[in-house]
Parts: sequence; C-alpha cells; structure tokens
Amino acid sequence: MTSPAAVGVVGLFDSPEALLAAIPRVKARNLGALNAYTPYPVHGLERALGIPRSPLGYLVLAAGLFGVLVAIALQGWTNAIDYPQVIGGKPFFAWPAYFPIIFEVMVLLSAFATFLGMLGLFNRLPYLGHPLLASDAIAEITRDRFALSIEKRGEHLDLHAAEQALLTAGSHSVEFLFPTVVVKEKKPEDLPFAAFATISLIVLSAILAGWAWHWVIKLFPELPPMAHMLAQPRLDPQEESLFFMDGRAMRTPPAGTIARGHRPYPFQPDRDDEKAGRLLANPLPQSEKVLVHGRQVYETNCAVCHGLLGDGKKMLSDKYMAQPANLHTARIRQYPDGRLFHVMTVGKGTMPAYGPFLSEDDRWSAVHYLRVLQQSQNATEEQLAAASKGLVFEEKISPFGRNDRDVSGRNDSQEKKP
Amino acid sequence: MRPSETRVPGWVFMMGGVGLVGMALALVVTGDVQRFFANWIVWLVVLLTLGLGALFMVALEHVVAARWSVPLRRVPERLASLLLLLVPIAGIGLLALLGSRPLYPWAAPGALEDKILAGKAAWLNPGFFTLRVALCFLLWWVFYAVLVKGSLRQDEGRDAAFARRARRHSVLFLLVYAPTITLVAFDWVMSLEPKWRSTIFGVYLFSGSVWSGLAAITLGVLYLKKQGRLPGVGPDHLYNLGGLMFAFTCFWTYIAISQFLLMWYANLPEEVIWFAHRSRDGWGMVAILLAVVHFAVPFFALLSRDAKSDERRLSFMAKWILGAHALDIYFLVMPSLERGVLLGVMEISAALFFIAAGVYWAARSMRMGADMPTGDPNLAEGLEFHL
Ligand code: HEC
Repeated sequence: MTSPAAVGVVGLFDSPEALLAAIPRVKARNLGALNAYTPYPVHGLERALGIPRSPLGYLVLAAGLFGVLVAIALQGWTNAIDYPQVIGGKPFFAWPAYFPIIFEVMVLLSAFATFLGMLGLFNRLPYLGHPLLASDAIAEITRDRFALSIEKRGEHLDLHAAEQALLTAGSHSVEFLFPTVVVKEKKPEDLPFAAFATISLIVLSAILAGWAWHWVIKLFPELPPMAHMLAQPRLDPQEESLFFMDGRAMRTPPAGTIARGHRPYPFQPDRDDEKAGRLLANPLPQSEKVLVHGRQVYETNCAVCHGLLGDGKKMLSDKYMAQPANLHTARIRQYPDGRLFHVMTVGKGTMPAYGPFLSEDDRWSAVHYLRVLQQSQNATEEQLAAASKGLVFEEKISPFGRNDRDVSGRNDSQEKKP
Repeated sequence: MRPSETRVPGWVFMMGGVGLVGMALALVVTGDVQRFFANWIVWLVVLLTLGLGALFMVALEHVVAARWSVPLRRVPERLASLLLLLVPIAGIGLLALLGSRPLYPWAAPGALEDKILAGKAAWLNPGFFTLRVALCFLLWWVFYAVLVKGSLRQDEGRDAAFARRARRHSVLFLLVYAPTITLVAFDWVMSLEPKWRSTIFGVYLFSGSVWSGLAAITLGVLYLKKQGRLPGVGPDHLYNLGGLMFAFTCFWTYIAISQFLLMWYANLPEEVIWFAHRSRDGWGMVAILLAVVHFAVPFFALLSRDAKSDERRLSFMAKWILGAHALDIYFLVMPSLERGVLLGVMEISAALFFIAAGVYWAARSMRMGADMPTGDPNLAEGLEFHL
C-alpha cells in the first residue's frame, strides 16, 4: 500500500500581522489555492486572500422576499378566501394585521437560507473531512496560531516549492496535508446519494413529526398549550369578577350615556314591524358607492347566516340551530325598505339586533344591496332579456352569481324602471 | 487640514434670502399666522431632531467605547452645534402659543371650557411649556459644553483621562436625551392635537432623530473627505455609517408600524382620529408616499454591501434621508390644521429658508477645531479600522 499523496501544505504563524504580511508573498508565487485558518476572524483577511464576494446575500434576499409573499398568501387565503370570518369588525383582507406574520416569515426564511446556504456554499456539505482536520496544526490553530495553507488546485502541486514559499514568508513550522478519507477513494457518484439521503431524512422526520402531532392533538384535545381554546381569560355567565368592586363582569354605562352618533329609535321589535316599514324611508341614493358599501356591510355581517346570496344557506356549523331566513321569499321581497331596516336594527327571533353595531348609513346601504341581491336572484325572463339587449356577455357568470359590477349595475337600472 | 477652507457657497445665501422673503410675503398677504407657525414648527423639529441625533452619536461612541468612529467624531460634534442655532428658532416658535387662534389648540382662549383640555391644563399651559422648552435647551447645552467643548480642549491638552470622563457624562446624556426627545415629541408635535396621545411617540421621533443625524454626519464626512481633510478614513468607515442608516431605516419603520397597528386594531375613536386626519383630504397619498420614501427606497438602496461604502450612492441616499425626514415631520405636523395637504409659497419658502440656514450653520461649523480629534489617544486605532 503506497501512502497517499499530500494534497497541501500548511504553515503556522504567530500573529495575525505575520499572517497578513505573508499572504502577498506566497500569493505572488501562485503555487496553488491559498487558504487561511485563524482562531478568530481577522480583519482584512478576505481582501488579502482575494476571496470573491459571496452570493449568499442574494440567496437570502430572494428567500426573504419569498417569505413575504408566502405570508401574504397564507393569511390572505385563510382569512379572506378559505374561511372568511369577521374579526374585530375588520375587512376580510385586513392587510395591516398581516405585518407581524409577514415580518416573522421573512426573517424565518432568510435565516434558513443563510444557514442552509452556508452549509452548502461554504462547508460544501456533504464534505466529510477536510485534510486540515487530520493535521497536527489544527490543535494550534484552534488555540492561538494563524495558519496559511497552499492546497492542490487541479492536478498538480509542487509540494517542495510550496513548503519553501511558506518558510520564506516567515512561517515557523510547516506540515504536509493528507486526505482524511484514506481507505476508500472518494467516488463522485456517492455524493448525490449522500445528499439525497440527508434531505429525505429531514423531510421524513418533518412528516413524521407533523403526523404525530396531528394525532396528539386529536386524541388529547385538552392538552396544553392548544387545549382547543378551552381555557380563556374571560368570565362565564354568572361568574364573579375579581377586578370590579361590585363583582359584576359587565359594566353599566353611566346614567344618561348616549353612544356616539346615536339617535333614539322609537320602534319596538315584532310589534312595530309593520309600522316601521310604513314610516321609514331609505334616505340614501341607489348609487354605485352606496351599493359597494352595502355589499361590504352585508358580506361582513349578514352573510355568515344568510349566505352570500341571501338564500339562507348559513356558513356557520349546524351547531347554530336556528334557520336564518331565505331573503328571496315572496313575503320578504314585498317588505318595504323600512321594514328591512327595522329587522336589522332590532333583530328578529334569534337574529341579533344590529342597531348597536352598524351605523344608520351602514344599515340603509345594506338595504339597497339586499334589493340588488333579490333582483339578481329573481329576475324574470323578460327583465333579463331587456337588460341584456345590446350587451355582449364576455365574462363567465361565476357559479356564485357574484359577477360584481355588471350584475349590480344591471339590476340597478332595472329597478328604477318600474 | 485647513479648516478655513470651508466657505459657504453663495447660493446658500440666495436661497435663504428668497425663502425669507417668500415666507414674509406669504404671511403678510394671507395673514395666515397658523400656517406660518405650522411650517416654523416643522422645521424647528427637523433641525432639532437632527442636531440631537448628532449629539446622540457622539455620546453613543463614548458609551460603547467605539474606536472606528473616533476619526469621524468631529463631524457630529460640529453638527451638534445646530442646537445653538435652534435657541432663537425655538424662541420664535413659542410665539405660536399666543394670539386668539394659536396653532396649539390648548393655548386658545376658550380651551379650558373643554373638559379634556381642562384636565390636561396642569401640563399643557404656556408657562410650563416654555419652562420645559427652556429646561431642555439648558440640559442640552450643558452636555454640548461637556462633550463637544471637552473634546476640543482635549485636542490641545491631549488629556487621556477625557475618554473616561466623557464616558460617564455620555451615560448621563443618554439618560437625559431619552426624556427630552420625548418632551420634544409630546410638547412640540403631539400637543398639536392635544386630545390624542400615543406613548410610543417619543420613540418615533427618536428613530427619526438618529436617522437624520446619521445622514447629516455622512454628508459631513463625505464633504470633508472630498476636500482631503480626513486622511485615512476609508470605505470601511463609510460602510459603518451606511449600515447604521440602514438599521435606523428599519427601526423607524418598526416603530411607525407599531404605533399604527395597535391603534388600527383597537379602533378607538380617540386614538384613530389622528390617523383619520392623516388619511383624509389627500393626506392618505402623503402617507403612502412616506412609506415609500422613508422605508422602501432607502431600504433597498442601502441593502447591498457596495451601496454602504460607495461615496456617490451614500451621498445621494444621505440627502434623500434628510428629505424623507423633513417629509415625516411635515406629515406629523401639518394635518393637525385639518385643512388638506398644504403645499404653497409658504411651505416652499420655509423649506428654502430653513434648509439654507441649516446648510449655512453646518458648513460654518466645519471650521470648529481640527478636522479629527487629534488629541484622542484612540485616533490611530480608529484610523486602522478594517472590516
Ligand atoms: C346570527 C345569524 C344571523 C345574522 C348574522 C343575521 N341574521 Fe337575519 N335572520 C336570522 C334568523 C335566524 C332569521 C329568522 C328569524 C325568525 O324568523 O325568527 C333572520 C331573519 C331575517 C330577515 C327576515 C325577517 C322577517 O321579518 O322574517 C331579514 C330581512 C334579515 N334576517 C336580514 C338580515 C340582515 C340584513 C342581516 C345583516 C345585518 C342579518 N339578517 C344578519 C339570523 C341572522
């Protein structure tokens, strides 16, 4: 067995200054790839060695921007598309609320890119052993010496010239470097397999962890910290408040309190349904602006129960046992505007009153929009024919019948005709 | 190093003159005292935060015993002298409290009839306000004298003990700086809408203060470097300045978002009113512009490593940052008038006048002492700084 050929020469120096001074002298000989090893970062080393700028920054930038997109998509999709739910009276696509998550995901992906990029670009994983690690010099380098090495670049390295160069540059001890993996020749086709194995191991363990966690949550729903939100810092009915002196959870407003913009509303629920319908009139014009706003009010507040189309198909689970009214019945379509306003204001049966939450303008806008919804679902053949005269339908009507402006615009003009 | 080389270019006087005449004309023709003072306060706050930011950087260097910035330290020291120029400007600014329709609503004659304002009257009254302003200036002057004048004296005496003393005084200054910049924010700016309050407002102004201070320092350094007055100061020093500007770009954004997000979430009328004033009547566009100019552009422009040490790009971005800072303060102050976006002869003249005044003062201050703190024993180490 012949001893393997040396692949490099390493020389030790006593101080960073000596190392920096030696670099240009060795570099001028151009014998092989130069590398420096130091116990701590030395200022100016990169420049002296002429190490090119790392592309890692671009990788991290791309990963960070990708994180921004991922976070926007994730939140937008879950909150505004997949499971639209009103939170704190905000619109479904409440972008300001997304900032913290955007920031976090950006940082997370950037950190991943930095770490994995470092492993790949600099440590060249899977690269199992650097010749230096098998040398005697490494003990000194990790303690207090500064090393400069000349390593094989391409096929040939003139070991003795390299040794000579390091000695004349001021190194006090020079050593040859031998490859660490001696027994087995490094076969290039092993590398992809090692990389493949590493990556699949990581992916597999991630899947396993996710699967295990899925079952843990399923089997032990009350396991902290999720606990299915069973533990909440709120007071249940009849529970005593330790915060307020009188022990009550809810505060009564001071006597004579009037909410901002409040106007007294004289009509009672149920009893005055008909009267309110007779006496109240919609003060808002049926303009596009009002309709757009009305639609927002409706979809934010009413659609959970009455469905986006107003057909009473609730989005709530069946645990909400009441059956919201189908707003397209002949009876409800005959209601005057005022009566719809009244139902919204004071509620009906199990439907909550919206007077305290929505401004009068909100409610009247929603009434206008409701009319448009009713028209859109109940137009007669003749009306459709009249409305589509001269119109060329380019857009597909979506299965939800929500073709926005065109539909509402058409109904808008339709309604004014009769 | 010939300090007398700093000549103030002629256009600065022209610009200042035009601005002064413009402001006077606009004031006389329209008689709009409120608007005049609103502009005055904008620029008072711009220059004040800038000067304080410079002094902050001086103190920061002493506190953390930074070496790299020693060769540059004379620049922030000189810029801190802006605080002296600001004494008369603030004095005139105090006149905004007078009259029957003063800029500050709490100073108006009938203000005490309002329950909320009456409740705040112990703090918001002209006498105490003036006292606080005077106290702030006094404190700043003391630290200016100790830190800056002390450093100038060190040049002559080569007093090695100065570093230790300066360090202790700088700690004190930071303790004073935090509450006083908060006072600037609360008194001069926030009390323009006295029923609104935001506890983070002082930090908000702090971020802008250091940001603009850094930009001015960078401009000063580049100016002296171009004249060959900072031998030994290289790209690595500039890189640190660029890095700090980049960092404070992010910091300002972080604070601005924090302030906005919490109020937006809670949606309480007494809190969101401030943002309502800043999203109506055209101010919404200014808000978006601010996000672009104050965050997006500097963020991406300063992101790369080259940008942080390239003289041309740094010089451009430093000027950009100063402009963005002025826009920021304009956005804080002007909407309080509730008169839509105001941009006319008055605003442009005020900008011309105060920019000229600032440039004049900064250029003049570049004559102060030697260009580098030659008496500082750490100067050599600072010059050797490499990344
Ligand atoms: C929590 C679920 C829920 C929400 C949210 C809700 N409703 Fe209802 N709504 C109902 C139920 C249940 C009924 C049937 C009540 C009954 O007949 O007892 C109903 C009935 C109605 C009726 C018919 C009343 C009548 O006289 O028969 C109208 C009109 C109506 N809702 C409009 C609205 C509007 C507009 C909104 C949005 C502001 C809204 N609803 C929000 C549950 C809801």
